[in-house]
Amino acid sequence: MTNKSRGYSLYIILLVSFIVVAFTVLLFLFVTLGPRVSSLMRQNAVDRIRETVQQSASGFTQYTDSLQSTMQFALSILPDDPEADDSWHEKMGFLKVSMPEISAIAVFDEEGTPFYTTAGQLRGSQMEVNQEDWFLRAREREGIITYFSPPHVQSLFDSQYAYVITLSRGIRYIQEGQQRLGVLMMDIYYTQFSRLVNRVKLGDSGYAFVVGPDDSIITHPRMSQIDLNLFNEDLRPVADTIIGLSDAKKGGRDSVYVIHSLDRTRWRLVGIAFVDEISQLQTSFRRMFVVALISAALLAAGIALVLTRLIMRPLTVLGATMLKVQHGDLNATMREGGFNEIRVISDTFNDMLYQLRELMDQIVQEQEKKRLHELNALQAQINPHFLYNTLDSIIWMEERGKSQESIRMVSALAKLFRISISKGRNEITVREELEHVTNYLIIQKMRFKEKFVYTIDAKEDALPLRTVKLILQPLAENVLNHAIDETLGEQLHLRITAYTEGDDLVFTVGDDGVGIPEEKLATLLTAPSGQSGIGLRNVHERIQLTYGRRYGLHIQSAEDEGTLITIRLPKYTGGKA
Amino acid sequence: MKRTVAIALTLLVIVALMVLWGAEPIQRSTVADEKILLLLTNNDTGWFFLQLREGAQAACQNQGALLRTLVISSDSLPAQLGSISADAALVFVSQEEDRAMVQHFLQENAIPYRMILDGDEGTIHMDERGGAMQLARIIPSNHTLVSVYTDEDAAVSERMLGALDYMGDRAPVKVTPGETLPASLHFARACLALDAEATRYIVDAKERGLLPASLLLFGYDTVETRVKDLESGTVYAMLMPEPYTLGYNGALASMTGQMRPSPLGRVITKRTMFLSRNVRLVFPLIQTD
Amino acid sequence: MKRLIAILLLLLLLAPGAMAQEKPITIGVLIYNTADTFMLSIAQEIRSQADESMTLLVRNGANSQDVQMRQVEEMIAKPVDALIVNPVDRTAALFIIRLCQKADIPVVFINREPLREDMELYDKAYYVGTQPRQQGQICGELVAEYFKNHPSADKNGDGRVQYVLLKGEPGHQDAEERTTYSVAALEDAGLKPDKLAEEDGGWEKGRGQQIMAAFLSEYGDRIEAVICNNDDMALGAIDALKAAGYFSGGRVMPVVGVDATAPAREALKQGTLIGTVLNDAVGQGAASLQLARLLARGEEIVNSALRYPLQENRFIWVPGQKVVYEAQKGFPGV
Repeated sequence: MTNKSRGYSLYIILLVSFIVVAFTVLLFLFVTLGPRVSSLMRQNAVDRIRETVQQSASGFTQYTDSLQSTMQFALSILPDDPEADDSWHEKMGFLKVSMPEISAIAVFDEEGTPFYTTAGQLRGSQMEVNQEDWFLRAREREGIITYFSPPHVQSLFDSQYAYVITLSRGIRYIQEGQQRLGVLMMDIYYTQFSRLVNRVKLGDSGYAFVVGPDDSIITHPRMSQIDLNLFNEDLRPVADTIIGLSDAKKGGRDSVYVIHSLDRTRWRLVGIAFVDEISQLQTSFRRMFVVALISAALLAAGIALVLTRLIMRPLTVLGATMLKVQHGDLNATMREGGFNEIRVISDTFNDMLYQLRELMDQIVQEQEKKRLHELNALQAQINPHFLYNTLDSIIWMEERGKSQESIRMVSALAKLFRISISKGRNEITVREELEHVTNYLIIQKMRFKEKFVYTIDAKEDALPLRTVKLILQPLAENVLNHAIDETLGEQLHLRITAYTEGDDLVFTVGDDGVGIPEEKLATLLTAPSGQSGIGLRNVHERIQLTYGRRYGLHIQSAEDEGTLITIRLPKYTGGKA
Repeated sequence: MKRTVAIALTLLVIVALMVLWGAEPIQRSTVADEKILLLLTNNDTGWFFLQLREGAQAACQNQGALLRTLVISSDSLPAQLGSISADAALVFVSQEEDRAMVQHFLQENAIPYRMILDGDEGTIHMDERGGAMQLARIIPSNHTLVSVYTDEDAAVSERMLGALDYMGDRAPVKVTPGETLPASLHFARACLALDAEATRYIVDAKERGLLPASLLLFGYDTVETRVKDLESGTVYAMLMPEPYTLGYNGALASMTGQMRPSPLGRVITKRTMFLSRNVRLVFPLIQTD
Repeated sequence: MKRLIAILLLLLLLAPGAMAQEKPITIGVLIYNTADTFMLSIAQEIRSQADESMTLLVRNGANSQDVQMRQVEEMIAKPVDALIVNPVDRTAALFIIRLCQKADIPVVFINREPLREDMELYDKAYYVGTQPRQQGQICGELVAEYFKNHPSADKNGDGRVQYVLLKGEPGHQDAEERTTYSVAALEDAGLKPDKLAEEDGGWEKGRGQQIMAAFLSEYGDRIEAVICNNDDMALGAIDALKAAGYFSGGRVMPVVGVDATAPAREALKQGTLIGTVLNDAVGQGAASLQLARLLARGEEIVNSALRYPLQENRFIWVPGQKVVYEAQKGFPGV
């Protein structure tokens, strides 16, 4: 038994390779595409937020612009010399009444003394007015730009307190021929502004608020809570970014700040959106991506498993079948495996096995034949008729007192049998074979007397060669049996020769007997072994079995003329027993 | 082969399940999930309640809950209680019997609740001691100080304790509106009025000339005196309560159990009374949102 | 080997010198709206003044502060070595200043002036522009001069000038200042101004004509002078006057404008316009680029290096010039 070699399982290698390749490809996709798509989605979501903030800022600016137009209109009502006539007071009053968002309108001279206010008397003195921020700033800007104040309680007027944002502008008027710079003031209720901003929704918990030029809060949806210290709005990202887009962490969540300028007010709209809310699509996309990845991986594993199996199965079956054959089951066959390559292997394997079986059968058959022939030969060695007749002759001779002849016959018989047995050897020398047939012929001569004469003619160089035993005697016997009976009166001449010819060793057994008819001649050597022609066929087959198909008997015969049998053997036979 | 097929099928099933899970849309909270906080009161007018409700509303918004208000009256209270369904409650009821009934009902129905100002333990209230300390702290130390009060209830006692360090060795003097001023007040340069009535009492006296205008008055608010008197200087500084914060704290505590520190109240002076961040305290009726 | 070292050392010594000569710089130029022909001419002047050592990045804000803000972000991200900005919204210039301050990039504002208080936040913020008050003054002076030289211009002989004024845009710095100071200049010249009417013409010729026609129908011959904040409106007013029979048969009306555009010069030749003020686009463009170049290179700003002096450490005022037509002399001073 050859040693079973230990190696690597192709199955495992294939399986692992499949899975590794599939995983690598998927991982590659995930690593390269995933972040890109993910960030694209985030960008998309952030862009939408930016748009929303921009739109809200637009809406807000539209409102502040309309307020500025109102201021402009109020300005146009004002004459160059406000003190000259006061018909404009009424107009101003109408303006205030017509716009409910206006809390109060007032016009002041350069020192802070009011020309007119819609809210009546001042609570304090003009000294307080000209300290007010909105007053100073308006004058600073020389009537070109409107000042927007932070929200505050307007306490100027005796009649009311209002929570407002003050718009103010410098106005040029003429007093005593001199041009001076006074101030037009318009108070707008704070809720007008807060309302616009508190509405803004950026995702579920995102919101927007307005900050002033110094980054302080102007309005905020949670203003009350901020004022009462229940909520803190961290304004550092606003101060750091100033305008535009930035990322920050708010309460541990990733958030996006969008800061947009509110034109002509020096304010800014700050929108805060939380990343996990605005890009819900992104979160669910990520989920899906992970799912897809894992599913694909599992599918790949499954397919790899099945595929590998599919490929490996015929090979394993082949291996198993071969193992079976090794254990002796020659009838094992491979069923056709699926793939063409496998098919080739299995077909070839089957053929091979078939041929092997055939060969083995053949060998068995030939061995059997050999045995049979040997048996027959053995049988022939112990021909009972011959023995019986011979012994009978010996007795007859003894009874007649022919002891010389009987001794001769007995010793010839003894020698015959000795050589027949030849200590069990299959091959003997030509000399011994000739001796054997001679002894036979001696015996037969004593019986048949003058019915035949024989000559044995052997070349010297043929004598030491080896041959299968008991090939001449059956032939001679055949001649004596068949050739002699027919000739009545004529003496049969039997001639046996032995010589070498080339690489062959040749015997001839010739007679001038009746010959063999043509029909019988043809089938003499080939007819299936039965009773007749045993001798000739036996010898022929034995020679062929031992030495090969090239050798054997060749029979020539002509009716009434005689027969010549040529036995051909190889000259060099080696030392086979 | 069978085994392989079995494995492959199992994997397929796992994959199918995962796809289903992954494709599931992210759930948003539905309206049905919103909790309801019920605010119970026997008086829904008045600036204190309005601010209180605003605060509770803000807390509810932050929690994603809904605020409902129920105004109870002694007569129909039992019937009203029957109609209540809420996840949490906030109780601002001044009548003691009504309060007890409400409390009993809430306990019976296992509704978590909090009381505001009046109630037993766990009630949301102002930090009177801290507030009084805040107010007393700004009294100039070189001014002789006299403290007055009208009624020594729980709140006033707490205030006394808070202002103790600043009162010197002069014990607070009990005054009764309508009766004559205590003598010590004439020598005082500063006066600490520990309750609203006392504050009004001193303001009245100053206005009538019984006390000098130079007397610095530090007091507790009243609705009437608040703005005019601060502006005129009759009252130098006032401690304003923070009903918004009380409502906020109460709502938060009743919904989540989280207790926030009690508000101190804010000291308001002439200088700071018009500041934007004080507007809700000084002008609670002005609309600000 | 020694020689190699020597050569290397020599190169090392020379290299910084060589580099100091021509350090390549990038300058961003943001225009509020290139559809505004005046600003376009400033931009063109800036472009023509650029040399090989600098790269100019010119952007159009298309009259949107939002667009311009993104352009500012773009410039800061590059980063440029200096920025020239013509802001869409003067009040929003505050944010541009703060952004430049954060990025430490010097910024030169041109033609639209940010608020003083905002400029003062950042020491590397500058402004190049004209002083509309000076332009207004020149307008007033032109009228005053005319009245001095033509006593008959005072039709009612009251020693006062009854004028109508065509204003630019409401709230616009140039309009306000030119208006105020042209009137003030009249006062200073001793001719007490008497405003008959004043209206906003939005800088447009067509509207100028409409408004003038309305003035004429209301005040007719009482009008003694027509003051316009710019040439376009002045030309429109002249059309209205012509239609009403002026500028023929001896009826005249003094009209002044600002800008010294080509059609205005035509009108000057024809005598329908008595004078205008050169709004020096070329000067502003050149001055702003000159300043920006020095700032980008980190060089000291000294008046000797500038065409127009730097005032209060951050302002360059490019003066306007009086433009009149004198027969046989052509246009002096231009």
